[in-house]
Amino acid sequence: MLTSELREVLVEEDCDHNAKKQTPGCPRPTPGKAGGGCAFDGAFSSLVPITDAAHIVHGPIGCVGNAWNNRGAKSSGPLMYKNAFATNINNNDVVFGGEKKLYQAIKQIIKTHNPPAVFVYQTCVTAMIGDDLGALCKAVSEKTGVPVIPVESPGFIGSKNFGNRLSGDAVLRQVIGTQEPKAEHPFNFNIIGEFNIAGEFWEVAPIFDQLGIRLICTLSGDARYHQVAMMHKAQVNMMVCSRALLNVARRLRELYGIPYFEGSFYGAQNFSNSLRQLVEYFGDATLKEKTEALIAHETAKLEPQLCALKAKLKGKKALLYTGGVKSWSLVGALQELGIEVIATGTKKSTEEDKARIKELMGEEAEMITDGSAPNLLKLYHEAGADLLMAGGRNQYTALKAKLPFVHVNQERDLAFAGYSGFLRFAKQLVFAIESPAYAWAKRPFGAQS
Amino acid sequence: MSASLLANPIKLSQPAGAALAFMGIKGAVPLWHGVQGCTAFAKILFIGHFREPFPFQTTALAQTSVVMGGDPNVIEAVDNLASSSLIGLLTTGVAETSGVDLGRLEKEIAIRHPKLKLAAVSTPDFEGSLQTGWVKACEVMLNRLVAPKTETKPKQVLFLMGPYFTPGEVEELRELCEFLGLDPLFFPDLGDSLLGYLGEEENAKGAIGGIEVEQIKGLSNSALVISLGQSMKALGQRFSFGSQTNWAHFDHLAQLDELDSFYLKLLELAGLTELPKRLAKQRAHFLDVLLDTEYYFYEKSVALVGDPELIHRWRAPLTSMGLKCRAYSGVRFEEEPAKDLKEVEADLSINPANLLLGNSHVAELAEYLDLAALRTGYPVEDQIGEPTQVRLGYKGAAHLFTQVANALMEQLEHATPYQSPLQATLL
Repeated sequence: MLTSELREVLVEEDCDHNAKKQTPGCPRPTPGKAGGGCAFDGAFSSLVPITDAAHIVHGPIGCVGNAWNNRGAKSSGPLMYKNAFATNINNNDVVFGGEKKLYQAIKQIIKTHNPPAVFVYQTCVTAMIGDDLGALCKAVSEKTGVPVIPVESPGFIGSKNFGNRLSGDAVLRQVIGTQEPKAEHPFNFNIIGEFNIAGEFWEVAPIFDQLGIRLICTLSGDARYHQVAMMHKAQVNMMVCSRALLNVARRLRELYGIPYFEGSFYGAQNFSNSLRQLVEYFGDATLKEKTEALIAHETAKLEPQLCALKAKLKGKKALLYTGGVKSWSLVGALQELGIEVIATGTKKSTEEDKARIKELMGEEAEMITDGSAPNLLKLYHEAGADLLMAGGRNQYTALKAKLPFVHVNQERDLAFAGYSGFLRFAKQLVFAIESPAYAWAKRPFGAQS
Repeated sequence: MSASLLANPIKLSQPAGAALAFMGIKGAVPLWHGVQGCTAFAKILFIGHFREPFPFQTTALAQTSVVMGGDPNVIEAVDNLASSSLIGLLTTGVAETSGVDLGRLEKEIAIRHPKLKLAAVSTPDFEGSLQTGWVKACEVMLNRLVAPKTETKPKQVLFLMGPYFTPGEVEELRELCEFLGLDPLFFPDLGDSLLGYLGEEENAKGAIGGIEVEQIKGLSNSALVISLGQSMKALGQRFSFGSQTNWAHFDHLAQLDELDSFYLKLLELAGLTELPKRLAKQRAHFLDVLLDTEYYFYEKSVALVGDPELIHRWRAPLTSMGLKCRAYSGVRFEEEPAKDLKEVEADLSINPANLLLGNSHVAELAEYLDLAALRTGYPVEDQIGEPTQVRLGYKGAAHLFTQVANALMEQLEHATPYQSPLQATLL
């Protein structure tokens, strides 16, 4: 990538972080105080859910060997994406270059597995030794006729978020717009930033079919390569995970005039509102009516089931610290259940997200940027919270402190999206709060029964 | 089960329980008073479970002896086994139906073999189940073999073990007591006899290990008696009060409150005021495991299948962690009539459970119903190592909950894949 191209991705103009700061771009990780993933991690995890494509990591074993297949992105069909291909470069490759090895590796994948496309991920070491991913991928692609897409996001280049956007950039430049749908349809849209964790998108997907809205592509949960290639045919994009892949939405607006909005699948009200917002873009009165009817039907079905759970959750206090899943959308979902959110993580939130949080939680809303274990525990105890919700990295911190915990990030194994997902979410909260394990864990030796 | 039909039994026979109890006495030979088959079936059952030889003997009743009385068979068998440290004579249904008089037999044998130790117990298989046979055999042995109290040995602790504790668990308790400087005795002691040891002796006549008859004599001198397992509670109470000894009873040793009071008892006897570091670490680890596993227990239900004592071992600890338990026993249990596995199967189709807990037959049913299974009880023959499982003590209880969580993890709810028909029109 050229420096100018890189800068464009780094300084995402639609990201409000850049408006106020002297040094634009994502914040740099602080040595000794960093806990997140790298740019490679972000790029790899954003695109791997494209299920029929092959994904190969050009690097040493640490980049993929330690963490392959550790996220819950599910497929309804192809399982190609589950294979962790790597060049596994060694000492000699570092000295003499790894391009030949990569060339052979890609050819072998195409010959053995015949995928519709191959994504090739650059890593730190192979970037440092100067392997030219772009030229190489072009050469293999020309020779084999299979699209081979370089994703240039070596870990050192920045944070996981930045990697998300670099992968989006790769898709924008080389995939989107390369294929056309066979059949036309009046209502088309994309979802950006949804990864089908625990298969939760399947809770939501049937609803769009019921409404007669055609989803062209989910970037990238349970996606197929051809769907990504046709993303330019949508009339509107729905963004569901705030900062990841924001650049894709913006560029699609600039290049193809496709507007985007930020929606949420979490919480019945949030989801209903997102559906309303979505159909608004199609400007079709019948569709709007249909949508209202569906919302009314689903809400009526859900409400009696939620009632008993709400009674148990009313007045409980939750501390929310999320990475990828939107902080504001979960705040809304929790509040809908009568839970008081005492603080929420905003490390990955945009200024717009923060404004929404303030709208939901009030001006005094506590926003957590320091997600370190001691800080989370301090906030938890100060506020007298009943529940900590966070990702897998914080799970065992919470458990060591004997705090009820609900897992809300990408490694979880339960679907929380849509109406049925919201019910499951509410149940999990009740289970965690009522779990007898925490009382046992606090019991001192020799206590009387 | 209907009044007339039992389909796929849950319970095991009463004589099998008595014979197993005798296996915990060193050198003892369980002598089955019955037809050869009575012995052979139980022998195969236990060999499959323990993967150990079983020196079961039989009075080998035949057509004539069943009609004319089997006493001569008993006398002949005892003559042949007279060098054993103990003969555990147990009756079967066929012996009882032919009208055996154990009291008279015992007197006759005492005259013929004045030095022979004999414990004779009436255990027809048309009554009770494995656990009642075990308890009856234990009771007879305690009555016959224990001498009156002469002193109180301040460090001696007697464990009266129920039938559903494994040899591995006996060894765990032994190590724990020895670590605390106590002298533990286990009655019966399956840990010493059936855990599985390769030694010098190639063909032992009786049980290769276990508590010695000489040691049983001095059980009344224990400073503390601990009865383990619901079926041993009454016996523990009677025995300890008879010998004016401190007594405590525990059903499972797998739930924090019960565990804490158990360890406190031992510490008290050992003259310690707080948990030694090693045990404190085990306790802290157990608590950690409770939190690592609790997520997998949400809204899950467990069907416990087996003898009442086995159900008691598991039910309270699992319930304490929020699991919904229900029990099916092969004998009458808590106002519920006796059940068979066909009824369990039928009931599960109406009230589904996530996990079935029981022996290999129960595990097979679980597989058929596509449910998780956790093996416990007798027999577990489709897996190796059940006799070495330890599910008591801080460490063992941690293992118990880990096993349950792992079994349930295989049954995690998964979203149903959905492919959009509208999206299919793209290609």
